[in-house]
Amino acid sequence: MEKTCRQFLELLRAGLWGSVANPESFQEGADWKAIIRLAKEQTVLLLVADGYATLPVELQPSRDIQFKVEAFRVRNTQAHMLLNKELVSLSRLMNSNGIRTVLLKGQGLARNYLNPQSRGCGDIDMYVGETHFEKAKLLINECGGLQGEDSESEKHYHCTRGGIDIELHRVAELMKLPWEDRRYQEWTRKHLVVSGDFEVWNTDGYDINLPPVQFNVLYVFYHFLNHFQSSGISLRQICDWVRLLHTHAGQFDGDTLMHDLKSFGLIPQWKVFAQIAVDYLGLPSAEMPLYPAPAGRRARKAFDMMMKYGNFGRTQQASRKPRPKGYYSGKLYSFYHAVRNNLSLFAIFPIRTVVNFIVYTFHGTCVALKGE
Amino acid sequence: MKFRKGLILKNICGENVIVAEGLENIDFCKMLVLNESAKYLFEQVNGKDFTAEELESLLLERYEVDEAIVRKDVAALCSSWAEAGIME
Repeated sequence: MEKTCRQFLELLRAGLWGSVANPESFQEGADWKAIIRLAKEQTVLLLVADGYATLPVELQPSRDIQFKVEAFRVRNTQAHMLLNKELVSLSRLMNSNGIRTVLLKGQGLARNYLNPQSRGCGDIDMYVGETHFEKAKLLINECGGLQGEDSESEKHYHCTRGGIDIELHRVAELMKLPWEDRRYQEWTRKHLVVSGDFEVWNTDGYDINLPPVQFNVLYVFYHFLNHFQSSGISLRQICDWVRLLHTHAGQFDGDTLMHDLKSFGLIPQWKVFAQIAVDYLGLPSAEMPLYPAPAGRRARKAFDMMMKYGNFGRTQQASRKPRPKGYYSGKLYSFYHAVRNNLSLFAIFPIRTVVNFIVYTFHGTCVALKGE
Repeated sequence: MKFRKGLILKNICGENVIVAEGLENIDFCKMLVLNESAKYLFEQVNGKDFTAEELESLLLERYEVDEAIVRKDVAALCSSWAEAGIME
């Protein structure tokens, strides 16, 4: 592995686990600009900063770099406070109108970190369920203060309020094949609607429902896997997952998890990311179900893809030519990049990639024929 | 005089730096570097009302320095703090 990447991982692990970065890895110097750039692309800048703070002063990055990073830390800390405030306000709005809400990902996962404010701040994903979805949309619109354009997909309604992106979820996630998706929605309803067995997080004096751990360890995994297969993900998503597994080690049933993974056809994918979580990010192996389960070069390929694509594929997109404005030329552009992406994915998950590609092409063709 | 709420002192790259946290400081993104004596004063009076005379006394107790110089330095310091926006 290339030196900068090794050093980056050394610092990330130190920040993730509160350990001391090995100074020997930095004795022969470091390309700090490259490390910081990697950290930004992987959305783990402050974790890396927590890591380099454990190095002897003479091995740390320059004053300029450290000041810029700390300026970012200040803004990120303030973003966390704003996000938590909006989260309470939104939860209160929904709950007082009879809608039970569950906070998916985001701030709910941040609390698993040693310093939650070292996690890059994002948006609010709030599960309201199919039954209350329309009412939830109406409530947030009537409440006012929305900025910019809103949008809606099969999965959620997206809007911006107080500078914060909010997604009201009718479903937590979707699976590609209809029969798999039916099973997945039933499983989600069992945990998020029927059971009511939530973790509760009290923030700013208000109780926020978080998903049950048994649901969350698989949900968080499947969510990032979906993005990995479509646009790309960064290490931040894996960090969220490993901190969740670590913080809640022993609090979920391994056999039930295996059963669920098998029923959704996710065992090969779990094994690949399990290897990344343990071998690259340092999760204690005893806390990773299905480890060791050698995923060989596939884990390395998946890791390389994450390093290349960055958060939601933004690093790779930045290096591409812009999408043509024409309708069909734009569709061809997307198709071309989807083919390239799937060729890389085929080396990691051959069967699933073929299935996903067929589904993608089918849906894309239907959309193109309708001119949508 | 009083410092605004939410100021904290950090050590960044061996330097003493004030940053502002908290919702009340959402629009305040500055970072202020303090020398050792300014750091000392900040630690002594942060969170309390204080006067320039109190700052002068603190410095005179801690350092062997001419009173006139201290008066001038404290005036300059208070002015720079006000300009930086860290006072209420």
